[in-house]
Amino acid sequence: MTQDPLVIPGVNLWAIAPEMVMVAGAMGILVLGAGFKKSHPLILMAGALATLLGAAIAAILALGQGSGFAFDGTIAMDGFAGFLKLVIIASAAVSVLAGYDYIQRERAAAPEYLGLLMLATTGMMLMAAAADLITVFLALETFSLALYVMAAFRRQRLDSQEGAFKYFLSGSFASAFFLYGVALTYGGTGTTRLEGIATSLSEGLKPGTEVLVFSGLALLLVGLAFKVAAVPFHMWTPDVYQGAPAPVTGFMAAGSKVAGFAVLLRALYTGFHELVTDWQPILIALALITMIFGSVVAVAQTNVKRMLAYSSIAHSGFLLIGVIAANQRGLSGALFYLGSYSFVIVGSFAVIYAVGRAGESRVELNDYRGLWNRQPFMAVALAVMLVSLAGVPPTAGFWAKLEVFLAAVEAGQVPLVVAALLSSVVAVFFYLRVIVLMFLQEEEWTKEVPDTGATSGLAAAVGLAVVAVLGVYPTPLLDFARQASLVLFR
Amino acid sequence: MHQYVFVVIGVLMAIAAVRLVTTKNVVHGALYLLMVLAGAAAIFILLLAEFVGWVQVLLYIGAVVVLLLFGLMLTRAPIGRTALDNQSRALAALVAGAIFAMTSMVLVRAFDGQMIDFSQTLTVRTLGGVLFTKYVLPFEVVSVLLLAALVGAVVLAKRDE
Repeated sequence: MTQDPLVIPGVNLWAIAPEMVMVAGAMGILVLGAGFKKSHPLILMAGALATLLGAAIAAILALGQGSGFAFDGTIAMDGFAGFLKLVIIASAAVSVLAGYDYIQRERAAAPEYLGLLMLATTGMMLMAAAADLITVFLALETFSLALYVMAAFRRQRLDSQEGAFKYFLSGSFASAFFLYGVALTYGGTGTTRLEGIATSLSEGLKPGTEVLVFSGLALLLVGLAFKVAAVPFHMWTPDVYQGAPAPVTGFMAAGSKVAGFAVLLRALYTGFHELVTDWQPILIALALITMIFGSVVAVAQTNVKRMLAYSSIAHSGFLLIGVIAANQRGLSGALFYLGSYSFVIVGSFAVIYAVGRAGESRVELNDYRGLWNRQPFMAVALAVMLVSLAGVPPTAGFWAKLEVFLAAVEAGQVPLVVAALLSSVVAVFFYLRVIVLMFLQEEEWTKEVPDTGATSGLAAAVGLAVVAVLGVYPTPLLDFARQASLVLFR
Repeated sequence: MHQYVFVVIGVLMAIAAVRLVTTKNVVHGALYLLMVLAGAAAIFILLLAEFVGWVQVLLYIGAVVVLLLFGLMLTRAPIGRTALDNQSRALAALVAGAIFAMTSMVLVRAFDGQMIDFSQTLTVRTLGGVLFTKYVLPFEVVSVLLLAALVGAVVLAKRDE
């Protein structure tokens, strides 16, 4: 009996070089932690940072290797993936810095913390590059599983347990929705590759299969909307943001937004681009309720972590506007937005951790009263980053919003932009409230200065520097984003 | 020939399934469940879905039922005759009946009268070939996923020092 020889698909290791570096580094750190029980967290942190640097170099080198698909179309190698991989690596590096203080102060298990963080980073990078729905699903599960556990890292605390458990249960449901969407899309188009889906949609569907494709797309959107915390799939966000250790929250907020929007953008701009008139109205409704709900509910929060959770929901709404625009400016604007937002949110949570002290007991708005007198640098850093989140010029957040809104105007979505501007105005209120508390109010009860770790300060400084530099001179990153967005428009 | 084997397996499965829900002993229940799952595996193999059949044996019989038995032993759950009934049989019967009616209707409407072409076989080799060529990257990603799950399980289960 003759057997067909296996036909090995085109293997291009450049496409997954950063991921390979990350997995190797994660395993190295886990082994080091298990083998040498006494290894100092500082060595492990240096190892994690060195791995991230290696992954960043690999990603930059991969950018020079041209664009295309590898591993039989399961993964793409292009500027879009490269840009987002670099954003993810950078926010992971800042999170490692912020996490070091956490590990020191709470005596958390350093190897596991760093190992999970790096495995999550791997999953997120794969999301940014995946060009096949099954690969997307597996990457999504990889980073989600790692994040569920990281959210529960403060096991002894009830709110941490509650948040992590909610995240796990609702996340599992969202994954199931996504997987069902993959199955229905496969049923309708006969493939899970985004390229293949695009071809089959442009050739016209067989009668009777439209319903499969449309319900498949709807379920895929539900799964991704959950990951990026769009209303009405946002229920987990405030509890998880509050319960997780602040450095983890920052990483989760940045990473899962970048990963989720990476897939949304790639899938909707390439695979499902034929159905643009069908998904646009759905996303417009989603964006409207997301940004209005997020901005309005954030006003009522007294806990800073919960406030930033609702602000992150609102930012998902603004980012969705870039997706809706469905033009090149929308794509590059969304990329720039993701880049600047990641730095800001990771930096903000580093400050929150530094202010929070042991056990993160000080995360209420009142605890920020007179912060300027106690920790002037932290107060300035947080103030600048909040101004950027509010989108006030000249900060990175302003250019991000400007690009995305202009793209939507080009696409003729003027009412949507008006709604977005109005909710931005509402949002300015709660960002400014924190700043006023920090600078203009006297603190009520304590003068003691908490033991701010040096690395949290470093993380906050990185966030501050990025916001300030991009605010004054956004051109390099904007150009990079434009370059990166070209590949999805051929 | 296939029909006769199918009928024998089907009858055995039906008997085991009825005993599974009527037995008062949890361990007996687990063993009846094992019989039902083994029967399902046999039917998969009968339908030429060789791979799915063996996965059924490995995962459901090898892992799930064994895990169930170990769980019963390790947690000192009451083994033997205990009341485990939460008195909502009518609702359970309704749900089970509705699912049965729906799946059998869908199956009959979708595949009515179609016969399996027994000359054409989908072997494990074919599946393995696809797995290691077209889906080699997702296959590798699964191992990263499992690593993350493993580390996570250790973190959550570890005792505080």
